[in-house]
Amino acid sequence: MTIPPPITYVLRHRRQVVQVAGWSIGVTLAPMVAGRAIASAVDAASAGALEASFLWLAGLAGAGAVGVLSLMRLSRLAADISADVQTELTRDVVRHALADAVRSDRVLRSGAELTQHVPALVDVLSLMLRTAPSGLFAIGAVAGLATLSGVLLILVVPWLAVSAFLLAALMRRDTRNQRAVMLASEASYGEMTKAIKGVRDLMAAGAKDFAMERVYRRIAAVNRARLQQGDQHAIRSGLVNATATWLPALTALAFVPALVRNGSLTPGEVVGTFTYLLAGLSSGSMFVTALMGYVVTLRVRHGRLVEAVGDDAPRVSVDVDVPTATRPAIQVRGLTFAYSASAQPIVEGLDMDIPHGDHLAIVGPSGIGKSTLAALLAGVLVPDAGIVEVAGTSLHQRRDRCRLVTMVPQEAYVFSGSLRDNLTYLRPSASDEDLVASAQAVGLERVLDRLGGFDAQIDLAKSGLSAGERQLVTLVRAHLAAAPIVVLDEATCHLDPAAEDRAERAFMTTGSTLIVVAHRMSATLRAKRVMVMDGGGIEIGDHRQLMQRHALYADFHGAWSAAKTEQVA
Amino acid sequence: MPRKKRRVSSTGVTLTGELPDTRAMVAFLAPYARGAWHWFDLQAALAALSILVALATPALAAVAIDQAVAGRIGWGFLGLAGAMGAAALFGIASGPAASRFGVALGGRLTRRMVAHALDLGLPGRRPFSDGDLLNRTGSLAPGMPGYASTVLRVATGLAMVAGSLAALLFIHWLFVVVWAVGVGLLAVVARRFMAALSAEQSDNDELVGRIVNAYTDALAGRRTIRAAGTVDREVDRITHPLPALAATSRNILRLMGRGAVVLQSADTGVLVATAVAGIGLLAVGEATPGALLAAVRYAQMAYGNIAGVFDNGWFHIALLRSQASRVMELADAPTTREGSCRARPGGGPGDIRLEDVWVHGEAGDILRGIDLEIPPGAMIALVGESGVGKTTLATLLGRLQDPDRGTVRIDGVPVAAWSSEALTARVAYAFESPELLGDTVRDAITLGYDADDAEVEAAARRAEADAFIRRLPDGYGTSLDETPMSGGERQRLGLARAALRDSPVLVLDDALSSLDVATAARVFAALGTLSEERTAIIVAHRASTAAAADIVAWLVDGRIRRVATHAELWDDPAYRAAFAVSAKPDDAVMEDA
Repeated sequence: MTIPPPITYVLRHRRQVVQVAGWSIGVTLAPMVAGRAIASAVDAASAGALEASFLWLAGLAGAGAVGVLSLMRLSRLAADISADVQTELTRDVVRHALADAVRSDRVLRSGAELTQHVPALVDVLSLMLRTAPSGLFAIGAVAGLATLSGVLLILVVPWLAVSAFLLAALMRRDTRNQRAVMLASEASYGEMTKAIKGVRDLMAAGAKDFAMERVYRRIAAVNRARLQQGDQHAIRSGLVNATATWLPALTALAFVPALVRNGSLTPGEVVGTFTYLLAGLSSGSMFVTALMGYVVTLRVRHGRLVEAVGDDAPRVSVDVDVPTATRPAIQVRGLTFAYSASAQPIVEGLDMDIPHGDHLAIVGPSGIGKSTLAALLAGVLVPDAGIVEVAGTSLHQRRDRCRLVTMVPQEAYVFSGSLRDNLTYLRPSASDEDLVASAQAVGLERVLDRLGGFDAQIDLAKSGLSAGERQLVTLVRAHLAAAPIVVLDEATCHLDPAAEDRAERAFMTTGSTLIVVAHRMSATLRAKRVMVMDGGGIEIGDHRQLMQRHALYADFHGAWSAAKTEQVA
Repeated sequence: MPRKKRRVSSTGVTLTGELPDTRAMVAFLAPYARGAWHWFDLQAALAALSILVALATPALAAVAIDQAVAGRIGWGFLGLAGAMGAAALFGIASGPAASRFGVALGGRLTRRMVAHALDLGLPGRRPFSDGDLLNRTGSLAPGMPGYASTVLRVATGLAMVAGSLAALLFIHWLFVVVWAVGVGLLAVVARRFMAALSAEQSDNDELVGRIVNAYTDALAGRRTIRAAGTVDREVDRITHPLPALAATSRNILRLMGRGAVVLQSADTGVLVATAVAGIGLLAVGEATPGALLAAVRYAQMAYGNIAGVFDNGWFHIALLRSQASRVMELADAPTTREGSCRARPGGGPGDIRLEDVWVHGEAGDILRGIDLEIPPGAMIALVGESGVGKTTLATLLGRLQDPDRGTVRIDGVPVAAWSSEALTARVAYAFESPELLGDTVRDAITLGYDADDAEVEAAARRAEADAFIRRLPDGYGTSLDETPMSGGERQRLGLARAALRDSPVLVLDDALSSLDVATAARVFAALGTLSEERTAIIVAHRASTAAAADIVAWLVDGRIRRVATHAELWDDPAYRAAFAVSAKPDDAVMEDA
């Protein structure tokens, strides 16, 4: 399921939509009776019956008053419906975008979907709701014309049909053109963003021309798309306007002398007819053209919105409800994962057991796939083949996965709100005592002092926290959750070695199974077992075994101790 | 004459300053429209013809209808048909003319502004932040052609009003009085409504901002949310301000709706009042049926155009002038001028000399009288706590910025005298967090530098990047947009970029901070920093890096404290503290984000 078309949101307000339709009749009343009233008034005035004439005009004025009152009610309703649609649409966009980002771990969105697409959709919807009835002016005018002359009506209707057909046929092309302009503009803006943000690198590499050439190409593409849209739009509106207004008017006018001569049309009725044809139809066709423009905008924006928030594909995994394992051990069998068919697999056919209470450190060169493996072991990523299971059930399918495993990624997620809300994020019911205990164990005191206690508000837009402070917050959060399995994915990389040691040891005393993707080699000295990934294969052992049999591992430690010695020397 | 006026910028910040007048606007925009004026002339000519035709149409229709009522088709009908056909043709032709002029002007202005923005230098040295610069170049500049079309539209609208009123006066003065009363009432109501609208709008923007901030924070924390299974709670938290937003939106939309009601009721009022007046005149024999119809049409035209001029004419012009002033500010910002020295004396390692170099910052001086001589082929480490000016010093060598005082020379020539091409050939950079530009991984390395695949791969190998690039879905052709990279991967692409350029001077600004020590040592060797063929300047946070350098320049508070070897300096506790307090603790670092 994805974001439904905007009109669906409107139609959910059934009662209000019915009211909109009702008041719209009131709005169309005046243009509908205008020609008829003027026709009768003119004929009455010509016959010297001034009173009757002004009575007709008073009727027209009354219809106008009804129209204004109706429009007031109508625009109020339109505003209320649109505001509700904005709420529902925003909620849906946030839910879809977040669900997609969380599932796919990619973010192709910039916030434009909330700052541009949703407001644009809401604006257009409210305009449409308000003016859609004005589009009925055209129909009202045709209905009024029927009371004056059936012959003229028959002459005029074919033109209107042609106009409607042209409009519908050209709408598809308009949608395509507008979408092309929007995509080209976004691409051009994106290229400028890259160039401006990268100005230091461009200057350093003497590559301003490289960037400018790319920006020029994008601007040229925008220009091409604009020209195509402009030309086709001009022709479209010209044709629609011609078939909706002046061709019907001229056709009717050509037949008027004959109708007047044989007495089937009075002078007043001629004036009334052209009130409809010139005033009513032209504003009607203007509104219909505008309405079609709105529909095009809705379709284009909605399309971009759906692209921005993701298509929300069905879940691959199935939640399985199983009894919670109290001392969960992790069994890994035949674990295989690659990011694409052509990419080298991160892990292939891995078998291992992680008993409850184990402490495993994962090390290896940058970019080798340590985080990916950690996510697989935490049941967050779904393997291509093989299984990571707890108590006989695939971990990623277990409904209690979130209670079983706490995973702390290296991007520390802290949100604007109170420090307490941030810390109790995984365990909202935590008592103050537990909170203090975890904060002390992990080493949050300095942050607490600086911010002024657990109820301090964090405003990320203003100052917020340093990278290290953010990591401490997420570590206390994980410690407080006290899950049986804890995975730290370089979760201490912004802490100094002493703070890292303290934080990690806080987890070692809880009895949880601890899996640590190591940022520093010192982490291997704390662990019971070490897993080395070097791109060729995966080796598991304790520190001493690996120093003996794994060259790269020894190399890492050698380089590390060399640096230490050098520093002391 | 320029007018002083408080104005609200598109970002919601209230600015005070001079708004450019019409002459300034034309003087600023005209050069960018060169070669496209014929499109504007055509557009203006078509507009003038359209006005004539539009004004003639109701009169021709009146004649045609009076003739039709008299039972014949005469010249009125032919005239009307001609006028209507001509109006349609003019309308169709003026669209393409307008878009051609707009595209030429907007495209050229935008290109010029982007190029200018890139010439302004580093963020700290120019008066605009990245976001501000982007708004001026990417959003405001492309909108400038709107000024020409809006001025034309206002002129057309006013001409239509004047013509329609003249026609009404010609038919009967009573119609003009009816029209004036309607428009007067309209103006009173419109003023009140605009003020209320702008107050609500700023509340609305603030609420949207809060939602968007929480939303982007949550997107960045997607891995935590995934692991914790808290999507629903996050949605509730992010959308918490929605009820308040719905309330302000409702008010804004209701106000806008009320505006539409005012316009509509004035329109209906003018129609009915004109009809009443017309019937009265018809009854006393002062008007024909055709004249009555013509009067109604002229009244509607005069009303509709005056509403249009107010609604999206004046308002739009004021907005465009305030936007133009922001684009003009950008155009007026000074850029650095490149030198003309192109000769490249010898191919050997560079010789660098800084003489009494000062750089002023917003909060005091960043560099205060640096004198430093770097012999050719040396590897020098710049050491000091965060904020002492190491990075600033590094930027001076490749002229990423100019010092406020003093001279930087490379091979005896001041850097300001080198052509930018010659200078970038002499000095290559790698940074702690390089920006990856272009479409593919290969683009990010070459950045326009002319190199074949073998050279690119060799450079990547020297930066220890080749292996991870090969693991990417499409190797060197992998799209940058679709491949999130870790900090260590980005650093190695940045190092490969520097390696490819193979220049005699290499500046590494903390560019290996996310690599483990073993990898970093291999990259150092491969880049030739240790060799006498290359002069290397390295901003170092690790003691091991400083130890590998020939000399260390130890900076404290914008000055050079001492120049000596690492071993000589190590005895000083203050020197050792520079490593302890620095952002990257000295330890074997595996990877960093």
